[in-house]
Amino acid sequence: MNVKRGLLIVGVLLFGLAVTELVQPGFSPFPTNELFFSLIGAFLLVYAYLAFRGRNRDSSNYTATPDVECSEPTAVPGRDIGETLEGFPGTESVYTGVFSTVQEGLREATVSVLTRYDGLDEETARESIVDGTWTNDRDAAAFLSDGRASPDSLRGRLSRFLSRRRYQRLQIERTIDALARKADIEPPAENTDLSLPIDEELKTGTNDRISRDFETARIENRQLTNRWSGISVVALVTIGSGLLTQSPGILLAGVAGVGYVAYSRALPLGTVDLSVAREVSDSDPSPGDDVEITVTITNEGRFCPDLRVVDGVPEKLEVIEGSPRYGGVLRGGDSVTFSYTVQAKQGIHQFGPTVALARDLPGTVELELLLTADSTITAIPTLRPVQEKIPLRRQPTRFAGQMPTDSGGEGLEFHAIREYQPGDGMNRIDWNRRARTGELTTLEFRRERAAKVVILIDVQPSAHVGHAPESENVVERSVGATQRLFPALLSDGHQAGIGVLGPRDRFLSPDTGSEHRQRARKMLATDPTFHRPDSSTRGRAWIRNLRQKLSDETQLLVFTPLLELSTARVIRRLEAYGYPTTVISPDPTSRVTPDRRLMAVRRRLLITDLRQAGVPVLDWQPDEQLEEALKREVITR
Amino acid sequence: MNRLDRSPARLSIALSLAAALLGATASAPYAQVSAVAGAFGVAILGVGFVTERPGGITLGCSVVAVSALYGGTTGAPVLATLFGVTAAIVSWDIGTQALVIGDQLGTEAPTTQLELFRAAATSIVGVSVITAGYLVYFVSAAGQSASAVLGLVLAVTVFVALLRRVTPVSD
Repeated sequence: MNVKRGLLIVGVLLFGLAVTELVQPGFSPFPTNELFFSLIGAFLLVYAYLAFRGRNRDSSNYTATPDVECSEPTAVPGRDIGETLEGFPGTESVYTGVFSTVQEGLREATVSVLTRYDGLDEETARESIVDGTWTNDRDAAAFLSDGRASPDSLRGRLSRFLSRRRYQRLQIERTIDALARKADIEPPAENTDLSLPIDEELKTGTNDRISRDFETARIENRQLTNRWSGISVVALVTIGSGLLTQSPGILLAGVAGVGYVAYSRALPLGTVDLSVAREVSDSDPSPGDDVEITVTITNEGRFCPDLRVVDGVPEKLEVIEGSPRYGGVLRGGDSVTFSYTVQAKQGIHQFGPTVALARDLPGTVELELLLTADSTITAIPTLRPVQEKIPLRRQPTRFAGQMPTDSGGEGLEFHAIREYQPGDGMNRIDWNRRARTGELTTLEFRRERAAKVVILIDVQPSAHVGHAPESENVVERSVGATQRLFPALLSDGHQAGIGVLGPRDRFLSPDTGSEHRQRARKMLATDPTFHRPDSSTRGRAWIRNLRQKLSDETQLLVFTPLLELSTARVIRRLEAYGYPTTVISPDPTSRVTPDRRLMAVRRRLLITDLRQAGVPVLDWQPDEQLEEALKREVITR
Repeated sequence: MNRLDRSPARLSIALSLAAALLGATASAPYAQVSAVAGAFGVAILGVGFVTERPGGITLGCSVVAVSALYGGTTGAPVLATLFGVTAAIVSWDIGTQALVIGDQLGTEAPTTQLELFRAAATSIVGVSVITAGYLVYFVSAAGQSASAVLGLVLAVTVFVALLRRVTPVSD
């Protein structure tokens, strides 16, 4: 304080002297020879240099804002080729082991592929790899046979000549493509265009800035932006040069610099106190509906010359119209309103805090505030039940030889005739017989034989993947399919239940009735088990717990991406325990890059192995309706 | 999936380029080098906006400012030099804010009021500075008093030293 006050006094004194000198020439004792001017000029330049040396080295900074307009991108499996190779099933359904090079890993993967799809035994497969006869592709053959067969393709030779690393990359790609061909994986479509890069991580909500206490507005961060940090140096240099060169223009230009030095430091920001109110046009929409959000910011403090606002759009929702951001000037006591539209998706969506950035007029200080207004959007879908026949397994118990399934539509399978009893439905009466003989008889259908079906949804972290960053992930597709299968199973007369595959504790026992159907619908739409990945590892006890909950004559319909060998093993165990299991596997693999294609090959191997073990697997493609996948399965049975 | 368009705010780009152009033309009639350098500076500024780099903005405005100063040494009127440098500073302020506003808020959000207000504030400071500077020149040139100028320079230096110790405090 003393230094500042001293400087102020000295400055004012000098200024006063200078002014009186103007008015009364000759009054003040300032020397006026050129040498002195140059000395002062040099001194100023030195001072400027020292100031430059001692300057705050932080570059101009400001608070970055998250991408709230997007929905959370889905992870695409197969990112790391080493991990993909480690999880490949070996020839005896055990892991193939740990590898030190990609080459080794690919070699083992090729053995796995050849033994399954080319009908070779392990030894012959290894020989054909060493000889390079397993594929027509020269580069692939050369890569795995360790140089015994040399590359023939021009591209291969050129590549090897130019860059060792790029050549190896090419070889790996060729090998993966050869494997993919053997496993019947199609190459990528011609014009697949992803709107987001496949590996990008994106912050789509403001929830990571949640304030730790519960006040409605809190200043989270105050930072100096260092915008004008160089201006005083510029001013000093200019004045100094002006003195040295005896140029009044330059000298006065230095005055311009000083003016801005004063501007940048002398205008403090008044008290900042903001509040937010948010209005949601429909907090209970159907998925797919547009919901309009209106945000009102009120300034309860002093004048705010620079206010920038980003609303906390829920992470999984996308903004389709308008902008959740605002920038403007807000007087004390005033309010400002802006609105935007989001598209509702299934689930419970909570809004994050609204981020408000307040700056002073020259922009040298930035305050970050988090404003909270609790808003939630809950969207529970009403999906139409599946129209196709649901491929349930034969029950290996009392109804030996009979398929206890019916389709809820055309072709109810007739089973027997019995005498009419009062209360039988009109649509069950055999009207033909009535017309012929006058008797009233009731037709009895197969649906009298009800099955107990539990749908298991894989909610392990490995299931929160999809084939493109903007696509639904497997859990979402599974939940959507279950929403449609559940009512169809109930109306076919079966008892249906829901469970999870993974270390979570969620189970709805098989039952019938409309109340049960509602409970299932709500559970699927709102339970966080199906919407948030759980990274806690609770060990393998969950399989035992699941078994305890399943009663004896239960069938299982398992939804899983089938990317992990451990999952395939669990399914085989369940089948072995006596629960006939059918797997519906939404395909989450991408064909866009070779590493991703390798994951598709791995999944194909797991599907083949399960099918060979007697478990039917429906490979449900991303662009397919569930009905198409079901129809395919019934035909191939 | 729609990523936010974070390119610099358009209104501010226009205002910044306009200010830089004004600064360049202030000293252009007086020295050819100034004219060329000034045009060059505006071009660099434009490139800075296109590539969204704040370094480009700073460089472009600096070139415009230096071209005005050079004009000052080769006989341009004092007012022209003062105007040129001040316009370059105004252009720099608006230009760098264009990048920050664009990055923080995107081009979809309504930011016109904010941009105009900030631009007006900087411009008012600029006008005040030019007025004060010219007043000093006028008064001191009239009195032919070199020692008054020296006194003023020393006073200003002390004020700069004082201001460097002040940080803008907000409540």
